[in-house]
Amino acid sequence: MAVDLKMPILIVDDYKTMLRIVRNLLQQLGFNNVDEAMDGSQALTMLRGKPYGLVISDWNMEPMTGYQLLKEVRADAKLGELPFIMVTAESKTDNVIAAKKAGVNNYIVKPFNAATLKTKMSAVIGEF
Amino acid sequence: MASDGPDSKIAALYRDCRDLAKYISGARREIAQMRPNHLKAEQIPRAGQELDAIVQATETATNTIMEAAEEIMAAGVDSQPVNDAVMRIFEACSFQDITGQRITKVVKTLQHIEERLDALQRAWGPDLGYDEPPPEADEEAALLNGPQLEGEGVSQDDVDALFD
Repeated sequence: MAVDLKMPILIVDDYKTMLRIVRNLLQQLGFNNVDEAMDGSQALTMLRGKPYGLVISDWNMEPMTGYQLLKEVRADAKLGELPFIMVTAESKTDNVIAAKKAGVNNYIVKPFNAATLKTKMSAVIGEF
Repeated sequence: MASDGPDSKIAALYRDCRDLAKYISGARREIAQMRPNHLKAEQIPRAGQELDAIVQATETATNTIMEAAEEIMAAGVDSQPVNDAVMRIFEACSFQDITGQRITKVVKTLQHIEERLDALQRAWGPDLGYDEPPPEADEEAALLNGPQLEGEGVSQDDVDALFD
């Protein structure tokens, strides 16, 4: 099934500049329906208020990290299957293993390029 | 022949204590040479401010670059090379996030050093507060202060005024 380019995507990062970069990269890839959250708790509230097709989240944020957000999402009956990609500078093996165990669908290490973003998104939501 | 009697043991103990006192005195002198008060009151906070200024400057520059790239994107140029170039600009801008995170780690290290200096001063007593005077810089070295923080230094208008 073809990917709906109009599906809502939630991007989560505490760096406004990074949100802007990811939003622009997504726009270049054809996705224009993008919302932003500045930390995990804000993201969780938004996810519970509107159906999203994908979450792209940073790890290191306060007060709720992306890792905690991931665990909350996976523990939520309604959000449990939501595609979730972690985009982070946390590049230790332990981080990747922990995120995988918590149920992340894919993991992108910063800095990254649009080709990597596209490849990882395709692996999670399908080719576009 | 050396005796192992009580007098000899006391003499050895006395020598050890004297060596230890010398060692402690040397350590205090070396710590004073580090000028801990100056480090704590001026150099470390200044380093933190300089790092904050780096983050601020790179963020401002990154936003300016991205605004320009967004304007190119909004112009709707139907050219793959232009779109690819805009994409590369966005990708490169992510350096700012990484730079910010790295600098935050350095700031935390500075805070740790500051705490250790505090602990050192508490452990060694108030008289460690004496800082040896800094070595005098030569005339030209004293003029090399690098870029100034926001609100410091002179503006171009101030410079121009000196030439009027």
